[in-house]
Amino acid sequence: MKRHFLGAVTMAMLLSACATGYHSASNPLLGLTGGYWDQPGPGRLIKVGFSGNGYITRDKVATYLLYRCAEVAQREGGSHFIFYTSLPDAIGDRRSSERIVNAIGGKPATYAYILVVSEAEPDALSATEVIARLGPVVKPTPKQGGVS
Amino acid sequence: MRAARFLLPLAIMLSSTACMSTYRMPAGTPSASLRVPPGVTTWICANGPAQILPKGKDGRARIPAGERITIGANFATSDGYMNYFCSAGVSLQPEKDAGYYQDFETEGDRCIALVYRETDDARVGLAFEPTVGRSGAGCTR
Repeated sequence: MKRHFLGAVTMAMLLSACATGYHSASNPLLGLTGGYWDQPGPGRLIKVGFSGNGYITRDKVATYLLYRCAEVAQREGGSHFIFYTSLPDAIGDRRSSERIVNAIGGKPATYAYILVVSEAEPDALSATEVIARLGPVVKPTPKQGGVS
Repeated sequence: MRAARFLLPLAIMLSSTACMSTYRMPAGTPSASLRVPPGVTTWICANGPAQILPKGKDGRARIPAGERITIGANFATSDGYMNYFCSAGVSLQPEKDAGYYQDFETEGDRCIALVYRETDDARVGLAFEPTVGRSGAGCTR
């Protein structure tokens, strides 16, 4: 019992000293540091967000958000998505391709609204292309160790 | 420490709404539906001071239609060192049986609470509400 408690404390201390990784904010353990989330609506939009802790950079949060938007678009059965930084932009159909990230209390967090579409259209982002482009940054493959 | 992190915003939120009673719509009043955001306390001024607007399990609240009302939200959070509190609202004149969406967004230490009209006519399912204006002058919170 005491060992479990110490293990949990150690894990919490390790997590609190690491930058937020690319994982769901609802992850029972890793989610303590933040992560991605999404919720349907309003209207036909999907709100996608990423929240980080004080160790992650704003650029990285922006990258993670865009990558997650592409994953959500594929999950919803779309090949492309239209990226809006606010609801007024969505209503006015002012499309974007990136999001400026602000921080509250030193913790960067951001969100965007996406409209998932089934085919290419002007200024719509290809989910496949975004995942291919950002994948090496978001989900880097572990370096192979070996003997020469 | 972790408990304090959750309890502190709760305490701030409670203190900011402690003087508010809960809004009850008068019987027979024409109404509209408002989807409210999670994580904030939504309030309403309808011919009186601000009152907490109760929502149903579906995340929607009934609001009076045909009269100008002010809808707003309070938000509180803490990072363990600093407390953040923000309150914002707008006025509008809801249409009977129409659907609305309250959006509460924070950027840094600023916040905005706007209300949009839900509609099937727009591609994104949402439109600007033409009656939206400044928060009511007689509305205190």
